[in-house]
Amino acid sequence: QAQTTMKLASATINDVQHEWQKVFAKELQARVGDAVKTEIYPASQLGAIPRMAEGVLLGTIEAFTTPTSFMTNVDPRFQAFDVPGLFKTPEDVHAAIHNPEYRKHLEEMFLDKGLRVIGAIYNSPTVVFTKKDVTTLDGLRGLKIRTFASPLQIKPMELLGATPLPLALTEVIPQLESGGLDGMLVGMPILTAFKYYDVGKNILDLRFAEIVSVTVVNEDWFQAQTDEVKAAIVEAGRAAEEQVFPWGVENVEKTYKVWSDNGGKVNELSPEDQAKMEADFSKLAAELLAADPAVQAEYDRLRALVDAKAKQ
Amino acid sequence: MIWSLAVLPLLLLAAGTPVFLVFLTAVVVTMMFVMPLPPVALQQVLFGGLDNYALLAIPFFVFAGELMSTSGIAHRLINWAMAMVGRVPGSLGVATVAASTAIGAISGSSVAAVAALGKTLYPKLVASGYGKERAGGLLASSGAIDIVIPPSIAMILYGLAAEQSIPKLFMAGILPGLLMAGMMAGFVVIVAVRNGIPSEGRFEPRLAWQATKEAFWALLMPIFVLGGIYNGLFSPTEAGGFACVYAIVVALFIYRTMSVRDVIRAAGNAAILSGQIMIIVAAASVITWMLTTQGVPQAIIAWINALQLSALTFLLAVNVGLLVIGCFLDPTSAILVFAPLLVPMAIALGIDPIHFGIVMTINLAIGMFTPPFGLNIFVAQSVTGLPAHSLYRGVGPFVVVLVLALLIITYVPALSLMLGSQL
Amino acid sequence: MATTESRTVKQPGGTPAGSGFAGSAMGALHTLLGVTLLFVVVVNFVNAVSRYLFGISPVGADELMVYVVIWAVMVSAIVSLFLRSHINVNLLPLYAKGRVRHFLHIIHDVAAVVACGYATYASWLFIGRISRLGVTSMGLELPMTIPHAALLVGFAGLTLTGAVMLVRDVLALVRNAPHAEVRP
Ligand code: NA
Ligand code: NA
Repeated sequence: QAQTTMKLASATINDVQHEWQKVFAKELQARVGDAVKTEIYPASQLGAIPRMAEGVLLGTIEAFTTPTSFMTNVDPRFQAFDVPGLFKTPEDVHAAIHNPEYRKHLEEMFLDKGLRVIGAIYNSPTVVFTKKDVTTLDGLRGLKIRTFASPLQIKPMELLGATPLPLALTEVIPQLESGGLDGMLVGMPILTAFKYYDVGKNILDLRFAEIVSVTVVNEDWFQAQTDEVKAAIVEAGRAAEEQVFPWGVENVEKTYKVWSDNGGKVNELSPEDQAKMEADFSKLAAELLAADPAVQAEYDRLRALVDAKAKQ
Repeated sequence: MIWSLAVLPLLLLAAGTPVFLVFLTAVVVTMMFVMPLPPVALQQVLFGGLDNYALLAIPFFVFAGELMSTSGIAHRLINWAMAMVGRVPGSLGVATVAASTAIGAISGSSVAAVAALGKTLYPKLVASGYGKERAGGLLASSGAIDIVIPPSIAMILYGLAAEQSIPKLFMAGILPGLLMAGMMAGFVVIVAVRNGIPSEGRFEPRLAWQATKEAFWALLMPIFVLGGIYNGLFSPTEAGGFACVYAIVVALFIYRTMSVRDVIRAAGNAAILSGQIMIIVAAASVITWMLTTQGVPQAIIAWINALQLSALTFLLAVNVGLLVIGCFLDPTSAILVFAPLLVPMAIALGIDPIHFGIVMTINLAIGMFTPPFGLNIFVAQSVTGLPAHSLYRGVGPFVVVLVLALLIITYVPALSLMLGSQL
Repeated sequence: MATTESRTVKQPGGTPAGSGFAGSAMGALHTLLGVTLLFVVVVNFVNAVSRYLFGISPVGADELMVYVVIWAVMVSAIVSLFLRSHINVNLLPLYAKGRVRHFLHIIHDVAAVVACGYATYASWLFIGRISRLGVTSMGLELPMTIPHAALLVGFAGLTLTGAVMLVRDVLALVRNAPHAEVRP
């Protein structure tokens, strides 16, 4: 039996993405033995995020696990997951992406780009890390906040009166230390993984978006496998995300605890501020979505699933 | 794979083939005959080696160095430093080390520092009796201080790959960086005394005042750049660009030592030297990628693991291993590949990961000027025009001095942790 | 400037690189590269100052700088190959005289043609596929074909330059032509 190598790449390490890859490798091995040799490359060992994305598109890397926000330049429909106000809890994410019918749709929705989704997993909430102690929406006014160069991060920050600055990752800490930056929009586990409590102590937990990570494989490579292997990859992917979901939720809870244990503070908005922000963001979401019908359609599907869960 | 990735490159290197072609030919021959890989991977990885924001520090600081030497800023700075330390034996050598340390506080890239300093200081060092070899060796090795003194691109990458606090790493680098500078300066003084290099001039308040007045705008340059970084006006990468702007303004409007044409010519020279450096970085990144995907780092780690070392012998093994690896990989890619693999082992042995980061950084910094490969050697060679074998001989003593410093820093963790743990 | 001016290059064939069409082309490229680097310095300055003073950071300024520098790197690689000023370990070439040196140059030229030729082919395949996929950059939303094309153009230029030099060096070896000391 011919052995095939499957390189799984990601930008982070020891987080839910890495955990998914490890469990996936085990699940796959249980199904097909040594027919597929998995190799896991965390921490950007195979290059920066845009290079890994190109790698999986062209087949030099078989699989790439990443937050959806880093794939929007490959296909704008990846934006649907990051629309402010869509996912507010891990359970929202679970209800949508693990819905069997949606999951099947998700798997095949990027085939026209040569990518197949084999894993979708709850990653973490997006929070605002700040050096100053910020507890109100007004407190964010005028602060220089590092974001990704994505409208889904830039626009919400602008709406709150903050100044979004899409800086390169290597520049962030020196700039935070010197006051060139006041804070950053970031996934919660990143803050504890890189020990940001040595830089600043405050988090404003806005709860307006949850990061979703997907694992995409190169479709040409996938189709070159035997039917048995193909089925095993799909099954292993689904099994891994079911197993890792609780791990991910617990991991996020743990990071909040690590943050507090190291003297960090977690602030929440007053109910009035929270309501105002959510109302503003839903208007913004409508505007952003109106610009792209394909994203809107995807968002509507997800929205319906989240709302259905809320009704239960 | 051995002949195409080791023997062939050494032959090509010895034949004087451009270094980027040495790497690229090794990769291409391996891809064509030894290990079939999709050709598109070559483009993807080469491009990835260049598409890196932090690399902008190279053209910026190379240009700043070119401007400083052409405009006379560097000349005035050195005269000032000499007037201040006039009496010390080997004063110019000591001033060179001091200048590297100062540039270290501004920039985060070792090659850029060598390029910036080499141009001005090499002829002066030779003229004051150091000999070409030693002068070249001093310049090539002094760049190592740059990535240990914060800010440091290598430490930022270590922090990201090993999940460690970057501010702590920066703090932890200060004392080891100063120790390295101190030991190099001490060595330079010994050489000067033994070779009877006269201490130039002597300290006279009147001369010192005169030199200070003449160097006023030049002295303001490091103050402007450091002040800008530490007040958040610009990042360490951007600082190089601001140093260029400052030097252009001084050269055009205050000293009037350069015309607009001169500035463009200096920029052209800087662009060409930066291009020569960066294409080597890109080609080397393909070698890293090949080794990584072939599981070479994992094999090395498994081998170290199997030795069942104690913390002390583990650190020694890592030092030896990284000095060898530093000959082939540039520090940034070596850190990205090895830090995630080595750090868990270090932690399991009770080694502080911040201390370990400093040890790794210094190791790879030394690797940049140990023969036969090493970006700092190549750049020093290009800036000084010295033949490679002269530089190989010239860096020898400094390799010994800095390896000694490395051993002290390795086995006295307090040096790294004293400041770092105060955060 | 002294160091640059004294960095002479050895070139077979007897015609100095500094004269004629090739010479003025190199001079023009040198100026173009200088102006390009100055442009990047200005973008860097404007970006940092506007961020500090007004809190405005033009989206994609970092990408613009990086991509322009990538283009500059590839163009300067061609210039340096033509002028034989690329960074190398100059041990053997320094002592080699006559036919031996011509022979070493032929080795360099062959390496350039083989390695850069293959890289050109890889670039060509890559760009063909990436342009069909329509991937854009994150900040500027520029088609990724544009920055990637720097390598295609660069390596094609390097291959071509290497091939021209190979022909000249083989002829020089056959004729055992003297080596000319020329300045870039
Ligand atoms: Na530094
Ligand atoms: Na070396």
